[in-house]
Amino acid sequence: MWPKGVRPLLVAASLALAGTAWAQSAKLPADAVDGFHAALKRKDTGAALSHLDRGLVVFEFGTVDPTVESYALSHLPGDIDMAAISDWKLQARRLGGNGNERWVLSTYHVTGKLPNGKAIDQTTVETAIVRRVGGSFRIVHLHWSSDKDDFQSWAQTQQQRPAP
Amino acid sequence: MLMKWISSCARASLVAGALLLSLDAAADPAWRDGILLAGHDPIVDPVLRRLPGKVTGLGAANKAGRIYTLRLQPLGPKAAPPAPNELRGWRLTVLKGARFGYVFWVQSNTADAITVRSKDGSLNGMAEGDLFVVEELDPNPPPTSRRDNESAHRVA
Repeated sequence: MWPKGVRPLLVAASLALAGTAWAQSAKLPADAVDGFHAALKRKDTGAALSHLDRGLVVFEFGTVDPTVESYALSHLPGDIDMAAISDWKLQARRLGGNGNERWVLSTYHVTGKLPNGKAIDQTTVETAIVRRVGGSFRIVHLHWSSDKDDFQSWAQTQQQRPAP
Repeated sequence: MLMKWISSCARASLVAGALLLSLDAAADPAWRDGILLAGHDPIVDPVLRRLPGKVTGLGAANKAGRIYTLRLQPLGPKAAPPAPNELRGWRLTVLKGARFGYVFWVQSNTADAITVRSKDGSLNGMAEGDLFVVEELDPNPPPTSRRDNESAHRVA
């Protein structure tokens, strides 16, 4: 139907348009953060990714995911698993920045139960930097840490172990 | 003079090494040692069965030029090829490549290939080296899981 040379151009145009359409979801800076958490809770990998900028860097309990692909492959599944067994209640939030670069600082009271029966009851703090691309905000940087020393040190100990 | 030259070379080697390491980490995150053990992941049981994979090739296009099959290499230390049609009805999300974030549903699979159902769009635009994850979800999934981004599917 389409001449051969035109087909790749149509595919490229479709992908570019899809990217633009994708960026319609978070009109406010906090929408990107809340939308991301909501997607984790409903185990929706694709929707979670839709709130992340392609330049994402994640700091999580002392570890670094230097690319969005690295985070998507290695830590996103764990965050979905964690969200499934815990409730994150927003306690406080501050927003700042201007123009296309904003920050969203959030404090959550996280409760739940681990598979070993141990209760989860901790405060998790989150720094999110969001960037407006087109008409919507996406998360460029996330940094999480917890008030529980044992949890934090345990997580850091795990990093020293060799890969299985 | 000789010491200066040696010192410059050593510095250049260190910078080059650091650059190569960072490029390597960015290019193929699946193989970064230790990354799967970081954070809180190990203490939480998976809520979904998952198969992360790497695209090793694409199937032939149909008469309309659309591709619905990809060949895969399972990723991860405990990765094993899936049994035939074990992944039927599972959700496939693209994690790396031009179709990053796109969601498909598996129609059928062999040990080294996955065919997605056609109503979610084709795999055109994917390429060898792209990464994805297949996750077991409700066997009667909604038409799309991209509730935050429904319009993207219409365009695709």
